[in-house]
Amino acid sequence: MTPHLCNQVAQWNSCLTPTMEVLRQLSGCTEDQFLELGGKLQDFAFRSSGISSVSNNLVELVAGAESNQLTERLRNLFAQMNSYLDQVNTQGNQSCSTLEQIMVQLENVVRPLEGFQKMDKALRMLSISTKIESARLGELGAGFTTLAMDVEKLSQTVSEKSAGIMAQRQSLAQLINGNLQMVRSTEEHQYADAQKILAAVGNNLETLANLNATCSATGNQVAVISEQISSDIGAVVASMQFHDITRQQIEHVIEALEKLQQHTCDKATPNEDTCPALVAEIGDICELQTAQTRHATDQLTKATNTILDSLRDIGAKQTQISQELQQALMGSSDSTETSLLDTMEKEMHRVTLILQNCDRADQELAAAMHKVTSTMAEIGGFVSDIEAVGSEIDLIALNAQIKAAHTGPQGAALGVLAEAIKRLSLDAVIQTEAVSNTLQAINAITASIADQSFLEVEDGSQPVSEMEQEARQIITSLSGINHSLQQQLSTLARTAESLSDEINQTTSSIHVHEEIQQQTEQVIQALEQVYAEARSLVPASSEFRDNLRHMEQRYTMESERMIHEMLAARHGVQLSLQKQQTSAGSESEYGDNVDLF
Amino acid sequence: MAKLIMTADDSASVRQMVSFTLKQAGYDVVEAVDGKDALTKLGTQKVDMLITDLNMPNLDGIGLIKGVRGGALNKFIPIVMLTTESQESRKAEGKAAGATGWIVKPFKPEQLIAVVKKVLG
Repeated sequence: MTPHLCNQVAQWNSCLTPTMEVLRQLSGCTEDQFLELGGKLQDFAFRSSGISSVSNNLVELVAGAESNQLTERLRNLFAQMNSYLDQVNTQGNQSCSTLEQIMVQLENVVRPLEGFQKMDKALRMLSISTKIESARLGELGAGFTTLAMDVEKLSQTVSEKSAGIMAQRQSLAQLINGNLQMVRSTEEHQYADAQKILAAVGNNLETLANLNATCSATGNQVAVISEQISSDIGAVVASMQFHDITRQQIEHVIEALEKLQQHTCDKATPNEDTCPALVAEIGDICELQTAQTRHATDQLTKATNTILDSLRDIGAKQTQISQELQQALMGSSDSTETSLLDTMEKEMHRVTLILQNCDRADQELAAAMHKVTSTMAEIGGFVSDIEAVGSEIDLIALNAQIKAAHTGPQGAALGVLAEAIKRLSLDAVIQTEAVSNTLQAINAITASIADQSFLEVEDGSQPVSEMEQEARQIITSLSGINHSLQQQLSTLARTAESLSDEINQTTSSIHVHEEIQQQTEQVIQALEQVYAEARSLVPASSEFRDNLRHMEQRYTMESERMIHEMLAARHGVQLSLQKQQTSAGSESEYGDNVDLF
Repeated sequence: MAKLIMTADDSASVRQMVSFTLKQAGYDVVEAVDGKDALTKLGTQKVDMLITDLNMPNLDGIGLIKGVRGGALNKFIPIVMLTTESQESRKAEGKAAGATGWIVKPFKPEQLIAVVKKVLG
């Protein structure tokens, strides 16, 4: 049997040479691939950090201090606009009522003005009659010709002034009708539209507040995801080191096999005394190195899978960040081009336009009121003139009565005319009073609104121009935020997608672990065959069990000692190699693998 | 100004991961491919800390520590061993040579940074 064993040893010995060659190739062939992967990891980490940074910027943009300030300004402006429109509505109604009252009063002017026209006719008739009577009297009636001419002049004056008042009244009536239409139209359309838009702005303000809250929550989510990504990167960094750890483990296997080969070569002519021991040793070493090789390969495979999973996770999480932000910021909008801020920007533009229209209507109404006031002043002038005419008629009538009395019985007819002129003076006073009273009533009405303008509302809130300016500033800020938001969202989506694609490309091209596993499988099969054959010829010896106790000195790594311990346990040898005493102190603070001296 | 840390390791991929981790945390990094390369560079360049492997060609980690402690420019810098070796005897050897700390590979980035912050004060 011994020669057979010796031949077998030689055969196994020659079998180990190609096996070791495969292992030597394995130990040095993966460095470049891992270096390239490390380079990509750095690139991915850098880009991932950029995505997290853009995400945080976006959250800050929408939920940060500037945005909150803007929301508060919008809320204030919204309240001011509402208050302004309420006031505009109330004042519009008041203005309509005032204008309608003025219209009624203007109607009241018509009757006294008609009285002036009758007076004009009567004066003209009296003038003619006086001329006729004066002619009949001849020398006696000479002074009455001048009287007749005075009466005629007065009739002309009354005619002109009353026509002037009538023309001003018509002009006022047209102006007031026009303004009434304008105010009613403004109320009907502009104010109603403004109220509708402001209601929408109010809803959007609430939505904006919700958006801020959602974004804050998304910001927290982004922070959590960024932490997870950081953890993924940490896992990759830790796993990448297994390339070097595995290389060293394989080198240790090569070293053990080299020693075994050396040992069997040293005993080049094994005799029947040494051969069984040699076979047992070959079995022992090959069994142990099979376990070490398998463990090293499994460890590398596990590490590579961790790298792949972590990288894929980074890509998926960045896509998740991008999508969550997209969802949070664009909400349920059908179009990705339209955000809430877009809508609000447009609404603010419309509100500004309406405010401008309201402002214009307000200015027109104020101008109309000024026109009413100035026209009333002009009418007042005419009325004073007519009052003066009344006094003059009175004097002329008195003069006529005196002259008629001097003329004696022949001037009796002129005395009748003088009486008639006297009565006209009384009529003039009555009509003038009627017009004057109406004008005073109109003046009283217009005085209450003459100086009132919507540009300066009673409660001291912002005038329209300031609200417009504030709205424009908010629009500019909204526009800036919106532009930046769209731009950054687009960049974010693009960057996240490109990163995810590249990570997928990279991970799908990593096969280093499969290649190593395939090659080590050949090694393992070869070693397993050797130790199985060796064991079948010579079972594990007690000497091997003793050797296990001191062979552990060769190992530098905890995992190698663990494999050794497990194998020893399988052969009934209890070793306590794993739990070596650690240096006192810091392992709890920094981890089990760290000692600070 | 960022602190400068040297990483000495014969494995390029390990140096890459150490550099990446340190740079991400804001440190500047200089690399050495083995103990001899590290000792040569440390003879002329002042660094704030050394992180070195144990088993390296030309000059191993223990030899490197002894060389640094025996030199002048970087005599008192913290030196942390970063190695796969976890034997207590080796740690004791490192400690005796003047190592400040010992990290067994694989390290987690946050561990390495915590240790760096601790030893750099």
